[in-house]
This record gives sequence, structure tokens and C-alpha cells, in this order.
Amino acid sequence: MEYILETHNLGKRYKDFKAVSNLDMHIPKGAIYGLVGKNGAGKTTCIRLICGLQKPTTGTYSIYGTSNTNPQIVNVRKRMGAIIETPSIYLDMTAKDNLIEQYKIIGLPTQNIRELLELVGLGDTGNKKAKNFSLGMRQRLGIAIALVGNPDFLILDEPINGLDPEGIIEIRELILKLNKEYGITFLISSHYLDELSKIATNYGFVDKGKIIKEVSSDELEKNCKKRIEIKVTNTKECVKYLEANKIPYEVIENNIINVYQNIDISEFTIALANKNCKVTEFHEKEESLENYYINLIGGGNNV
Amino acid sequence: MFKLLDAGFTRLRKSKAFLAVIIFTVVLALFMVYSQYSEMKTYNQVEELDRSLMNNITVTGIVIATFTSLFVGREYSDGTLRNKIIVGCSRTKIYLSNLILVISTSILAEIIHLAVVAAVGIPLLGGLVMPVKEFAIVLLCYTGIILAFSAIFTFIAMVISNKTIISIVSILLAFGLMMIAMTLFSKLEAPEYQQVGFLNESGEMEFKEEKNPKYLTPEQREVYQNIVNAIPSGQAFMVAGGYEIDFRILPLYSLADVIIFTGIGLYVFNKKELN
Repeated sequence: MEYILETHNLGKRYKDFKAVSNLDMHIPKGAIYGLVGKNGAGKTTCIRLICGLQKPTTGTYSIYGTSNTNPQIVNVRKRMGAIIETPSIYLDMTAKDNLIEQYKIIGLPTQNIRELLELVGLGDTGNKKAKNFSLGMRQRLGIAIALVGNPDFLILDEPINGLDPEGIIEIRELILKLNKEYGITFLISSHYLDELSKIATNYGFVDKGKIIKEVSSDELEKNCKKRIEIKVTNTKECVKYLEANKIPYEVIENNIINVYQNIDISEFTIALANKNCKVTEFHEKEESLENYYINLIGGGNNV
Repeated sequence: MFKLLDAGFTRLRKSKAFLAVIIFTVVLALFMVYSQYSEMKTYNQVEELDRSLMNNITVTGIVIATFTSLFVGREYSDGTLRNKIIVGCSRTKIYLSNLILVISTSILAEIIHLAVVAAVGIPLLGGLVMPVKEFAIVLLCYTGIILAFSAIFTFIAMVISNKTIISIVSILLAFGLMMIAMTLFSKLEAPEYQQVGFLNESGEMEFKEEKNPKYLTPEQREVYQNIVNAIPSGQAFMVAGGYEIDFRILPLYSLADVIIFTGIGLYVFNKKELN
């Protein structure tokens, strides 16, 4: 798999406080990677390291295969854009002037400004200064600025913080559009799990500065969707039965099977008993993304 | 670097801080000519244009401090400095481009000041009294002072991340440097002997000349003079006051200020952890 960003044992220490520790992250090309963690988990520090704002104390990272220790990393960064905490905009300038400024910083001719503004829904802001924009508009302008130079990797740190529901929907749709239509890979940090679950294709769960699990959205969906967890004495016979009846399943451990379909318990138990297989435990489970995350980081005491 | 300068000058043209500097410069130049002209009329004395041309240098530090804190100092709070690093601009280039922008604005303001004073002052006060060669040397010192102030206040704006703290530190430092220069000058100019009044035996007031205890020793004088030479506000008072000193050494002190502050600033900014 081709990765846009990889980190290896990345660490950042501030005096006696470890903000990031042995962080390993892998962002596949074309993904919308959700970096999930509670406040203070190390998400923003991790992003600051990746963006070159701070230097890692330990470990390395590579963007498009170029290590942070390679001087060429400066050129590689031209292929990425980022919004960290607040959008980087000159508040006393219009949206158009902000984009002109960014084109000049990157050294590109000022073109497609209108298209870019329309793409983020700011085509009709005219001479309105950015300081008079709503938070959502500023966020979208920040994304437009980050899109100057056609980057193929965007990093958004808490992009929906403080936005109203309409603003959240606008940002979500914009991210999806940029990912699907323009093939832009996203790294999005957030603690709004439900919102993130609507767009993310991959997740990295971070706690105490470490990635504790990386999963794809498909895997996560499997883990979170309604399922029946069955403990049996003869896994082989049980699997035969499930396959014969085209019931979706997954063997979790030697004698534990997850079944992802409603089944007639009496019929199922009798059928297995006839094949010398006893059902010893039977649990119906459904897990939300929040529960999944809380379980990952070690229960409610950690939240 | 050119990309950053291109972007910087584009922003400068639209900046209210820049506009404020230009307006202030024009108003100050007109005020200086007017006040000299009214003195000339009131006291019927000859006023020199040279004074109007040079006097503004004493407040240049405050103008540069204010402009730098408003124009460069907001780059942290607006997140735009962060943005430049993210898109691959080197920290050294970011620092130097901001320094060049501050210097350019300050020199442009100076040119405007000279142009306004010349345009309005020559018809009212007459031409330059100072020999042209000497005026050229003074202008060189003048430019050196601007460079030194620019380096100092760019240093502050680039190593401190908080916009409010940048403004407070810059303005306080500008006034502080002015106060230091004034204090040192008062000490340097203290007379060696002073008149002391006392009552004689018949109860009449008499005066006698006594050695001034605050008169600086040659060693102290050298130290104080070197400090005055080294700080841009000290140089500004020398230029504005027309002191008889070797003006050729002042640009060297200014150059040293620029090298020291920019060197330290670049080192700190390159090591600085940004949020």
C-alpha cells in the first residue's frame, strides 16, 4: 500500500511532559484519515511535528517517502496544506486578497482564484474582509488557501470546532468532494467521533501520545455493528453450518464467532447440537464508535 | 525569498499600518516645517531647514516599533507565519523577508519626510545650510539608525509569539531607548564646573565656581559615549542635535546592531517551537 505519511516511533517531550510518544501512523494515499483522541491526547502536537513547526524529540516521519531528516522535505511540503487550530488568514484582507497572497508565497501565477472561491462556497464574498466572516466561512477560506498550489495532502486540525450545524455540514461536504473528485488525502484530527465517522476511511486512535490502534472504516464498522457473539465447543462444525446457511460471520478466537445477522436461536442451537457442537455462550452486542474508543483506551476511567 | 517579498509587498500596499506610517510621516514633516516657520516669524530669527530635515529621527524608533508590532507582530496570531512554514518556506527566508519589509517601509517613510520637508520647507525656510558632503554623511548615519531600529524591532516581533506582548515590549523598548539616550546625554553634557551660590559673612549671595561632582571621568565618558554610539536612539540624538562627532563611525555601530540582532534573531527563530 502506498502511504502519503508514515511516522516511526515519533516522540515529542516538553521538559518532563511527553506529549507524543512512540507514535506510529500510516496514512494511505486517497484516505480520509481520522486522528481520534480526547483533548490533550497529542493530536495537535503530532500535527505540528508533521508540519515542521516543531522538531521531534525522537523518531522520524516521512511524507511521500521523504524523511524529515532529508533537506528535500521542504520541497515536499509544497505538496501539502494544513490548517492547525485556526485558519491561517489575514483578517484585514478579503478572501480574494488572501488567496493572491498565498499564490505569491508559493510563487505561482494568480489564477483560478474565482474557481477556488466557488469551490469552497465563497464566490460571492466580494470586498468583505475576512474579519467579518463567520467561523465557517473562515474555515472554508482556510481550506481554499491550503488548496492553492493543488496539494494532494491536506491536514485539518479540529476543522469543525465551534461551527454551527450548517457549518459542519458544509465542511463535511467540502472534504468529501475534495477527496472524491480531486483525490486529495486528508488527515483530520477531531474528538467529534460521530461526525468523523461520516467521512473517515481510516482511523488512528491516539491516547497519551500513542497510536493505540489503526483501523479502516470497514474494520471499524465490523467491530461496531450489531452482532451476536457465540461461544461454541466445536468451531469447525459451527462454521460449516453458518456457511451452509449463508450467514455472515467472523471467527474471533478459537471458539468465539461473531455472527452478523439475526438467527433463530433455538433452530441454531439444535442444529449444532446434532453435530456434536454445544453453544456455551450467546451475547448480542452493538458498539458505538464512542464505546469502541472508550474500550480501546481502557474504559470509562480513562475518559 | 523573492516570493515572500512579493507577497509581503502586496500585503504592505493594502496594510493600514503602512498607510498610518505614511500619513504620520507627512503630518510630522508638515508640523516640523510649520513650527520652525512660526518660530522664524515670531522671533524674527533665521531658521535652518536642516533641523526640520533631521529632527524626526528622534521619533523614528517609536514609529518603527509601532509599525513592526502591527505588521509583522500579527503573523503569529493570524497563523500566517505558520502557514509559510507549512508550505515549505525556510525560517531564515521568512525572517529576512520581514526584516526587509520593515526596512523598506522605514526608508520609504524617511524619503517621504525629506521630500515633504524639502517641498514645503525650502520656499519657507530657505535651502540647506549644511555642506552637501556633510549632509550625505548625516543621511548615511540616518539610514544606519533606521536599519538598526528595524533589526531590533523585527527581532522582537519574530521571537515573541504573542501579538500583545510584542506591541508592549516594542513600544516600551522604543521609549526606554529614548530615555536611556537622554539620560546618557545629560551626563555627557554636564559641565565640568558649576556655579554654587552661598551667603557671605555680610549675608549677601555670592557665587563661586566648583568642580561638578557629577562630571564624568575620562573612563566613564568613554563608556557612556560608546553606549550612546551603540544604541540607535543615542545616534538619533546625535544626528538630530548636530553634535560634533565623527559621523563616519556611527554607520559601523548601526551595522553592528543589525548583525547582532539579526544573527541572534535568526538563531532563536530557527530553533523556536511554533504552535
